[in-house]
Amino acid sequence: MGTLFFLIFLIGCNQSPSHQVTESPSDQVTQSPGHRVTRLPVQRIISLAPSITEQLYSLGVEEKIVGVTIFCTHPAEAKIKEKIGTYLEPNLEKIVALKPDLVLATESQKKETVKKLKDLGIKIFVFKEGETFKEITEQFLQLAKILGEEKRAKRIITSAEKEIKKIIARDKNFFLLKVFLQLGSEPLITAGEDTFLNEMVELIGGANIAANLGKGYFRINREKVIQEDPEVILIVSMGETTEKELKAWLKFKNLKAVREKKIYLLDADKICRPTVTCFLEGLGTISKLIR
Amino acid sequence: MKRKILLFVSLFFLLFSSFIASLILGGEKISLRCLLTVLSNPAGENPISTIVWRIRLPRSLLALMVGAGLATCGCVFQGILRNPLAEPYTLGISGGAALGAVLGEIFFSHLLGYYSLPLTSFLGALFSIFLVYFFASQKKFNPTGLILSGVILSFLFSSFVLLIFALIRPERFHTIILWLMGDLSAAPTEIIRIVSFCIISGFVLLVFLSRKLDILTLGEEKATSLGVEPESGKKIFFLLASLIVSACVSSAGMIAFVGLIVPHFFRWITGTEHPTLLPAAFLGGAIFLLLADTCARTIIYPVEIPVGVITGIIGGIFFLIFFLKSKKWKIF
Amino acid sequence: MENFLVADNLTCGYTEEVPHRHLPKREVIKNISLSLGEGEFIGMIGPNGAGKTTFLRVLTRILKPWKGKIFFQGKNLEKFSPKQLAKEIAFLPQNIEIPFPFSVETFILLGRYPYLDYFGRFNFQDEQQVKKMMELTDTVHLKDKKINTLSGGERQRVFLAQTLVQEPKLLLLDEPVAHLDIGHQIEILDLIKRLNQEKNLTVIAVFHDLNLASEYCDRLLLLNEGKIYKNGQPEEVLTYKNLEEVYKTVVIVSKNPLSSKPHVLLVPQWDKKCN
Repeated sequence: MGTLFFLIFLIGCNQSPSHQVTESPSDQVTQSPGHRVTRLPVQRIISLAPSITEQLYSLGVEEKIVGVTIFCTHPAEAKIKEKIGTYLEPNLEKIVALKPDLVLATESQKKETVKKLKDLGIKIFVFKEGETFKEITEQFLQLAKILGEEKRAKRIITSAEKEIKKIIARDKNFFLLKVFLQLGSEPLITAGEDTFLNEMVELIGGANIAANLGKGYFRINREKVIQEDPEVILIVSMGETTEKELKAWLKFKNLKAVREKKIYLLDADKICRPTVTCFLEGLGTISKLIR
Repeated sequence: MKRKILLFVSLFFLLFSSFIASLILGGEKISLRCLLTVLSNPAGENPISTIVWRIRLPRSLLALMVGAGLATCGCVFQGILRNPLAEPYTLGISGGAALGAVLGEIFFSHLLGYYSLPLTSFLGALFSIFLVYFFASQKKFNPTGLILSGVILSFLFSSFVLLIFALIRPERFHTIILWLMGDLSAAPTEIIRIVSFCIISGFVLLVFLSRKLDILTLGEEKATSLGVEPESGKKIFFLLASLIVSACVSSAGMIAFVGLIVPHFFRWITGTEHPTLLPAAFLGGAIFLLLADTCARTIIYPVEIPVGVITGIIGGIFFLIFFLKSKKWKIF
Repeated sequence: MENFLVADNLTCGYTEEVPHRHLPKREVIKNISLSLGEGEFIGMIGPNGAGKTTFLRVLTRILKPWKGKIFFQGKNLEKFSPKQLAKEIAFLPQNIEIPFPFSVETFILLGRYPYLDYFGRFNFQDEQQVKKMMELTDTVHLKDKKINTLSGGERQRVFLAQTLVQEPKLLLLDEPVAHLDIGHQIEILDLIKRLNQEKNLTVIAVFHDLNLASEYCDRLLLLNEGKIYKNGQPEEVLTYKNLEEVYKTVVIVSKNPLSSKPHVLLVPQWDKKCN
């Protein structure tokens, strides 16, 4: 159950990197990075993704938010906002009733929902979610441009980049530690290239054993992990099954990670949103653990 | 005769009230007066007008049509299989539709976007209809042959669906699972129009042929001696009803129980003559699904319960009460 | 009319359900030829598997003949349209399953299907016929009951009524009184005999009970292994020689003191020494 919830959460953090959705002309237009984005005068915003909600708060426009999903729990203040349904099934009636100027969604949102909102004459903007830090910042900037808060966003990004440099400098002198990132229990799921978890690991000098096995999130065989014999195992928490997984790994007494007791649990909540702040936090946490 | 008239008048009245209720009730409650104002002004720009015209009206119409279609076809399948426990999904249509939906979502959603689910699930359903027709024809379309073909194909298709689930990346299947539980909100308006047309015309044809269905329930020997060729008779009903069910499933997913409960209930009320039973079930199914859907989207607003859950629960409870209390339940 | 029903070299049977290669055919009726006159009451007797039911099925076109032809009232049976034929020939099968609880009146009304209009509506004439037949079969008091709540005898009378409302010229009955007590057996056969005599209704009925066949039928067809062993009046057919040959059991044939018809007496063999 925890896995399912986490995976649904992960949907908010990921999308398959292969396709680009292009929308019809006028204001509800493309979001592929690089295109001109016009600024819109907005007073009432509805967010259909937790990551977007968090970004809105960090841009300081929280008073304009009139609706969020029930999964938008970061920051804590977002919990008091009016709910428009689940992440997967936003309630169209509620959205219409709230009279938004702008609805913000990510590409993981159902196409039908997006189309229906457009048919109802509601402005909706769909973001390609970022995986790498570069993509995350690009998407953040896009959002900021729409809301006219570019300066603020740039400030946040610059300060985050400084922090990241600090962390890298501090931890750069480590020998390459092999890391295994575990995100799912049955089946075992890991993060490969083009994921922010992978990037975080590589930034601080670690080597993700799954980096050259594929892109995005995919299944991995436990035997393969054992073969690679990582020095660190990072398990992203999945509810009750986390304990089970921990015990499962401890059985393999010959693994380096088990011998040196370097199996760590990461709080999915704290680490897994494609926003700048979250990336920073996550990076900090991982670097502390791996050291 | 008087009893029949009374029944249909009440059913029409109930249908009308349920329809109005479905427009009034919801997260945003609308008063009756407000509703009348909104309905008289299709071009209204305010949120309430949008909600009524663009969200509730299409959805209620679909609920009405799908409920009516499933209930009518439930009666027909029970008739040609000569079994009161048959229901529209017994003959494997749901398996094919699910497989079509899953394949469509994975391979074709980029091409067809919005329309991929209804289209691919309809094609999947057609495919399973074709297979069942072919296999059952080898057994002269007798009830056992039909049921076996349907059940076997259903299992086969479901296994493929599960196989795909096991292989695909997990984030893909949330849409499919929600569809599998029944979703009256997903269909685009054009699809709703097409489906309504199919269901109504199919229904009219079925009523026209309904006396033949009575005769078919008497068994192959008696039917032949009364001038009805059993094999071709069953084929016509099978094809008509399957097409209607395919239209229902491809626009609204798998909504369980409507096709089993409603026929049963009305068989008890109107007797089992199909010229009366089919229209009664049509209206009754529409009412049932309208009310179930209204509950599904209102109880824990703004979160929606899949409508198949509501029909399953209500249907199951009613069935149980019915079964325990009914003394006439000898032959079933 | 002679030659009311003529079967010419009729051969028919079933295809076996065998799980390999072609489906072997099992011939049940072999080269049967016979000719019946209108108004006759024919009884078909013979051991199990002799082909009696199969023959009736060919007459109702549930089965297609493999060889040979059938002529009904001078016309080839195949040339009749289903509805036309249903108005002339009515069949009461041995077992009727009733999965749905029709009311008795509706159930009998369904027998009027060949006469209904395009929408399947019953008209006044249909209702009159049903009323008449229900009176004849003494089932009027059952008209609102559900068919699955009736006793065996009541059901058989209702089935008969349903068959009679077809207003057939030829009535085919497959063991019409097999499961009934003697009172009901006589009741139903009396009714059929009366219809046969008063309305010139031609009847072919399969009998298990040789004595009932003897009492009621003008002519008997004794079938054995798909062929007609003997075709004639009861006195000619029901001889101990014929019966012992066909049924492979010992019988004594005497005479019914009242009707003078042949009466078959069975002879148990359990206390005889084995040969």
